[in-house]
Amino acid sequence: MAALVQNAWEAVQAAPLLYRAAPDVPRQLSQAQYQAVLQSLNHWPSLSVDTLCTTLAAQGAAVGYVRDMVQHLLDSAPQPQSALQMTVLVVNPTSEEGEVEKLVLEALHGGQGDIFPHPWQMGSSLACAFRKAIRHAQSYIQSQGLWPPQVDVRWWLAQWRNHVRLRTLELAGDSLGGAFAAGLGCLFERRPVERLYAISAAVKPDGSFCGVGELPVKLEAALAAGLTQVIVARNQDFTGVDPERWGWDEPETGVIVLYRR
Amino acid sequence: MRQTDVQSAIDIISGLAGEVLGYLDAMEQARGRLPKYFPEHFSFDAIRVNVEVSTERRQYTDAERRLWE
Repeated sequence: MAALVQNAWEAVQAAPLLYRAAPDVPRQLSQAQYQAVLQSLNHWPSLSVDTLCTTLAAQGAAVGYVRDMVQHLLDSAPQPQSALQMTVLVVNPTSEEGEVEKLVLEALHGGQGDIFPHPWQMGSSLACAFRKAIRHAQSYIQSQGLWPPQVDVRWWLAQWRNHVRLRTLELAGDSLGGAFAAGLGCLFERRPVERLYAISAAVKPDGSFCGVGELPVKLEAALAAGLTQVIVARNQDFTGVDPERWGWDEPETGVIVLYRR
Repeated sequence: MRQTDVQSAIDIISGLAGEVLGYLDAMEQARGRLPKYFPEHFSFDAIRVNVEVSTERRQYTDAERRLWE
């Protein structure tokens, strides 16, 4: 067990892609603290992962991601207490075409209010702007008092039609921020989500939406998939959007709702 | 207070079912704010009603009415 945990921990520190996926985890524990934990494991080899993580958490480290990954390696990944699926629009960095995918958010009890990707997608490349968007969504939901105490959120992306999980991701922009914020709100308030609606907007910590790039290619993918409505920010640039295929409403609230004609 | 963009988006993507759930949540909160008409220890089950039947026919008297004023 101790060797496995050590390997997992070193994997977190060594793998550059994984490090980018969870930059806060290794930094929150000093090398001395880490060595102390390893010595404890050598003295008590039967120490469980839960006990180890509790020890780390007492040192102030966010251990949700490491605990989840270790349990995943041990084939005992925790089952979520609740889950939610959101339809999202992304741009494939290779083909530069829009794609419709499914964002899955899972609430895990016994956490520290952290949000992290599923170990299935540990080889993903998550750019700074994308991680910042998630943090903004997290900050907003926590500021509204919607995030329950001692709950972590694990997220992953899957193919929209058949729910097959995507192995590696390359997410660079902040356009999923709005979907993360609204999805977290729906997850914790137990609100349903319309499958044919999507959100394409960045989010600020105060809960306001901002416009995003490459909207026309995302809308092409939304049309092809049969989505009926796409929610965007009020300051969204509509250059390149075909008005004969998409109309839009400006409700009294701050967002704009695009609907297919 | 103005609704944030995230709250607006939640209302929209929740659809009609979400709107109904939101209404029920709001009603539940409003119900929680209603004043309590009875003390905590009150119980309707503790009420005992006694009915006394009299065969004596009573006549109306103005003097007795004034006793209840």
